[in-house]
Amino acid sequence: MDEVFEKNCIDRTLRGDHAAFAALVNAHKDDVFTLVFRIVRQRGQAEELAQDVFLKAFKHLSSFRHKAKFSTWLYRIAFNTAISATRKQALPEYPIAEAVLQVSDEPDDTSRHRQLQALAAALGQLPPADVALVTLFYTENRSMEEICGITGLSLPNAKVRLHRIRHKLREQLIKQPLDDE
Amino acid sequence: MNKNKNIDIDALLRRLPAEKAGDDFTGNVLTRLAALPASRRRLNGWGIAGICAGGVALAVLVWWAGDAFSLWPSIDGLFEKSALYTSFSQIAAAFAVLFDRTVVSPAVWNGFIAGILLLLLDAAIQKHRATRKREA
Repeated sequence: MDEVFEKNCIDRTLRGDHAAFAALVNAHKDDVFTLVFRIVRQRGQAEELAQDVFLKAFKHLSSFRHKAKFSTWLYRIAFNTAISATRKQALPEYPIAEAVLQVSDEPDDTSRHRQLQALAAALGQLPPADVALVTLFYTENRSMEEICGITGLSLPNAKVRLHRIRHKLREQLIKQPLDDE
Repeated sequence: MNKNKNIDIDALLRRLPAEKAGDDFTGNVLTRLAALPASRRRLNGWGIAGICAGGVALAVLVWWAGDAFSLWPSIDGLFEKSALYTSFSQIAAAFAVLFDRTVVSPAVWNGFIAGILLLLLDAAIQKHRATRKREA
């Protein structure tokens, strides 16, 4: 979403225009849902929590001062909401296998497909905050500075943590033998 | 040899697909937004004025009842005998000045206390409604 248009939508929302807020929701719903879903791992709960994120954003929109990107502010709400939810319950298995199947339709993709499934299983071993870090960096293409704004980590800490996560995932994938070997 | 040793973890992580929110996601958000109580969305000037007016009205009522039933002397007597006077003399002195009806009008204090009570009542009602909505 264009930044000028986004600011316009925020101003109109503050004046009570729900259609403008709907435009903001449409622009960010998939990214917010992906982040929340990767953290809580349950589609139904993620859907409800993602809606909660937008309701919280609506209630506190007047406190948004345009010092950071709107998306950074919104993802921070999403990150905190989802992490809080994980503290109240045990996490289920990582349910990414279905999504992996959808992208593995290239002809030479059998081993890549298996690697993705192994990666999904390895992600399931990570703490929710680490999964969020991976999601923000690799899936949502956020800069390290934005990730720090969202998660509250310092820049060196975030970089070190991401490096360790990569290393850990790689180690876990190396340990898993492929089926066709 | 395990082919996994040749993996490019960055490339793999980038290939993890993003999720899609449900088709009715935006509609559901707007429905829930519309269902929020107005006072929760924004406590505007009328809301604050209403609470203040309610507080003053309650204060007048309490003041009238206190006079009508000659309650003030007995309430003052209770306060003077309270632990504040005996155990915490300095705090009690400060409270005594604050509550002294010759320094600050009791109507002001009654209004202040009534306003707080109304706010607490409002918060309790909103929480009860939210709980019922979540359960539904």
